[in-house]
Amino acid sequence: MRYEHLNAEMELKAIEKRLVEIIVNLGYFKGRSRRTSEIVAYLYIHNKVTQKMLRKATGYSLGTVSNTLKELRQLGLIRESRDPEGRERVYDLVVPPSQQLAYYPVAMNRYFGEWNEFLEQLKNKLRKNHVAKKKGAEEIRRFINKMRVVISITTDAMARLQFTKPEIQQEVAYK
Amino acid sequence: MIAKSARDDLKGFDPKIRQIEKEIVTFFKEKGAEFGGKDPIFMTILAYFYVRERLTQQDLQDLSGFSAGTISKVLRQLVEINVITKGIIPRTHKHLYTMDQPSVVFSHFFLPATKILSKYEDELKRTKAHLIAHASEMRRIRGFSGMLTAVTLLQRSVHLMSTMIAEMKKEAEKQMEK
Repeated sequence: MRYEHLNAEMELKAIEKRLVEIIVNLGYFKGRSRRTSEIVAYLYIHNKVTQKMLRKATGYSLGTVSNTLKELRQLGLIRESRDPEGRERVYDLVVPPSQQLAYYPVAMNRYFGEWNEFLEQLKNKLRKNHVAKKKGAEEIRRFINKMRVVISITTDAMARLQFTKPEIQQEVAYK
Repeated sequence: MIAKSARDDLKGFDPKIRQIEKEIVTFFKEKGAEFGGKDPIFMTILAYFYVRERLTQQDLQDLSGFSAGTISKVLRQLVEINVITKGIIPRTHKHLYTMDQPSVVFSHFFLPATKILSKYEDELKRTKAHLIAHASEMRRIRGFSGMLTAVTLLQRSVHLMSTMIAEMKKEAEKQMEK
């Protein structure tokens, strides 16, 4: 019985390690370092973590863990609170994993809305006579056109997803 | 007479345009972090590629002020995920990194991304099925239900990403046809 329990515990640890690896690899597409992604992965899996827990799980020094948490707080990805029962600081993701699927399409809509506004501002700046023909203005014009293509590809794809894929509508409605 | 900042700037961007470029880089960096949790250094380098398209490591050092090591790491990441390509400047040993038009970049990016995501989705499905099948032995272990939830949510996230990329691929192909 004890042997079985130990085996199951080891298996769960192995699954956790693999989940961390997958999250680290996905973080690579966001340009995140391995260290940052590992910490995010443990927050994703355990919801609330302390610096000591992270040090034990990752093997990084307390200083490295603390600096990484500070960077993640500055990025607005995590928040810090006090453990009501102890004196330790506790960290969790600002958007908990259970709400990320619902959050994603809403956030993307806002993101591209802000992009459109920003591109409009850039276009207006380039229209001004003293800037219109300056060296580099053509590159900025090309940049605006490129971003419009990127936004159009992404927003059209999102719109089609929400209208045509019932399972995605379900995810979006999921709380 | 050309102002020093303009003369020193790569491709001789006018200082006023350089200021606009800085605004673009800041926007990329801040919004990428705010909405996608993306790394600010990564987003800074990416922004310069969107504006200038072809850059050497030295160009990026001059533009961003980051160290050679930091830039080299980001360039490697961008090449690996097929967002930029690496070439050699003829008759030199210098590497030149190039970003194509977005629809071309997307088409290079989509195939490997889809393959990776579909591999992870299958793996996570199997892991979830395994956890459910062995729930009777594992339930008593601390962290079991949290792990099952994490696997389920991650599988759903990966599925959403994968479906989204498939749709974006279709849209990018449409754009290329235009």
